[in-house]
Amino acid sequence: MSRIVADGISVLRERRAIVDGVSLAMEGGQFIGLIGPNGAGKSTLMSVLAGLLAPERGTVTIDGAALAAFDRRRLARLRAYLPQNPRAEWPVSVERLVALGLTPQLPIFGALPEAMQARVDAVLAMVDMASRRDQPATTLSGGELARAMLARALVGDPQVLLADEPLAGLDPRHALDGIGRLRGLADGGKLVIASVHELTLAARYATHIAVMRQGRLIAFGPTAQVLTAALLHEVFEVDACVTGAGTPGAVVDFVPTPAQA
Amino acid sequence: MVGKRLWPVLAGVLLLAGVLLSLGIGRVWLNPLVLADSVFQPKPNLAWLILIELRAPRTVLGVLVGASLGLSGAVLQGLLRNPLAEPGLLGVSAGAALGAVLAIYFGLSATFLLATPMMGIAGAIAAALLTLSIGRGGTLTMILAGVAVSGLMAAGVSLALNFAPNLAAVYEITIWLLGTLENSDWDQVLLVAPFILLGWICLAFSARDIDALTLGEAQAESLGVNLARTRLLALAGTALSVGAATAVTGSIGFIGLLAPHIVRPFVGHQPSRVLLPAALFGAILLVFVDVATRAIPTAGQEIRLGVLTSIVGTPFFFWLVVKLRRLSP
Repeated sequence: MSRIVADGISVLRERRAIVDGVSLAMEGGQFIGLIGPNGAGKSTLMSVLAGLLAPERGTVTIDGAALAAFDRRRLARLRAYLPQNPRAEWPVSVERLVALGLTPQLPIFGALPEAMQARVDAVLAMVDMASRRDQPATTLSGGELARAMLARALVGDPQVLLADEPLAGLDPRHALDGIGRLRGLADGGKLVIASVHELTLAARYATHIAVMRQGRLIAFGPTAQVLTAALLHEVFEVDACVTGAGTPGAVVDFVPTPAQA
Repeated sequence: MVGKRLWPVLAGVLLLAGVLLSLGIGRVWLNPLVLADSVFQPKPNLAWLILIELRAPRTVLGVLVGASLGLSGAVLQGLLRNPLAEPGLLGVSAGAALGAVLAIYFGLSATFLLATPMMGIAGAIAAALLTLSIGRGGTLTMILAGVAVSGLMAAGVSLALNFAPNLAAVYEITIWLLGTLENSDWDQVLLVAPFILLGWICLAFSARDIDALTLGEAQAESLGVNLARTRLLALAGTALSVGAATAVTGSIGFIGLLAPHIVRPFVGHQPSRVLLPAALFGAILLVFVDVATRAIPTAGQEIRLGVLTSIVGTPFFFWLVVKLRRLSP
């Protein structure tokens, strides 16, 4: 079980704080839904937690070791990161694309070992893409590509998964399927951090909710306690109706305020 | 279409055919019987001397140079994920040309034959260092720095032409710039081979990284790829191999651009798998074009290699544009 602790991290751009003094502690078994309006700093925070962006202030540690001092390949085996709208630059087959997730496990030269091929087959089947394995990745639809990329992230069996809007572009069935899978990973002891705009899905599946606004972490805690109508009103500036947050039947619905209607 | 398992055989046959043609074609026909006879003589005959001292170094150099262009083209296209990337993009070819032109301009080449390639290599390395020092930090900034360095080096060449002491120097510089494998000798091969081989090693070590770049820079970095190191490997490899190649042959366009495109569909588009076939086809293309420069009858001078690659390469390029137009909506 991995534990990530962020302590007072700030990221500055042109003297403006994109991420402003964020501190939070997360550990395996949690599925953290990161929510907040556009431009709240969610993606930047994810990059910092993934170790891809060094914050101007503050530190991130994984299991007590500073992220900044981590060996690249060791870190790559420990955590997987999926950026927003990932795309394939060459028309490689879906199978090859997924196998790229094993890059940190591979020697500098040579083909994919037999044992790793089994791993690729398993994750392809898991995301329902086994029948598309030979199709060029550039010809997939947006949702299919998102599933292939999720398989890419999971193929190395990372302890931590950071996914930036992994549900964007998925149809209802695959969105439910995808977020259910993320929860399943957390139930299996992994730490999953995903930014999500579909608040109903977050309310149903996330064990914890982290809320960002203007670079600051407004709230962080178990879904049932954090995801309230009052908080959503404060963060998104719209009235919301929240029922049963943290339960499988949760619903979050936005209602127009009288002034806007 | 050629089967995916068949291409290594095809490449091998083509390369062998190119090498044999390159050894066989020239001003005089070498009778294989006379050549075979020479092996058993204590003193080599004329045919043997022509083969070993003139045609063999020319062929070896053609293979080395063509493979360098194809390999570095494949690495740069993988690194930049751009089908138009080619070895000249980073300023090293222009730097090599400037170095060699300065050697001719100051008359160093007249007193010492290897001065031109040596200055060429120095120019390529200087250009690469300049590109790296200005353009480090990002892939796009490296391309832009490369374009700027190319422009600067080209300006230097123009300046040398502008202030050339006499018409003979202008002629010599211009002809050198057109690119050729004529007058190759073993000294040149021995001078550039270490640089070229070192460059190939740098380029080969970027294979895993350019594969990961299929996922874009953010995911590649998350997979443990050190992009700064990858860029350095690609730049150093190109500077050493293509810089040294340009230093002896002059500028040769299109090979580095085309070779990766020809082989890419046959290896499933995976960037690392493009490297070896691109090097092979670069060598094949260059050797065949060089054979053609000798086979095409001309009144005086041989048609120059760089000229012919451009003439042959342009239709290929049009074909590439049409193909890309068909693929993209």
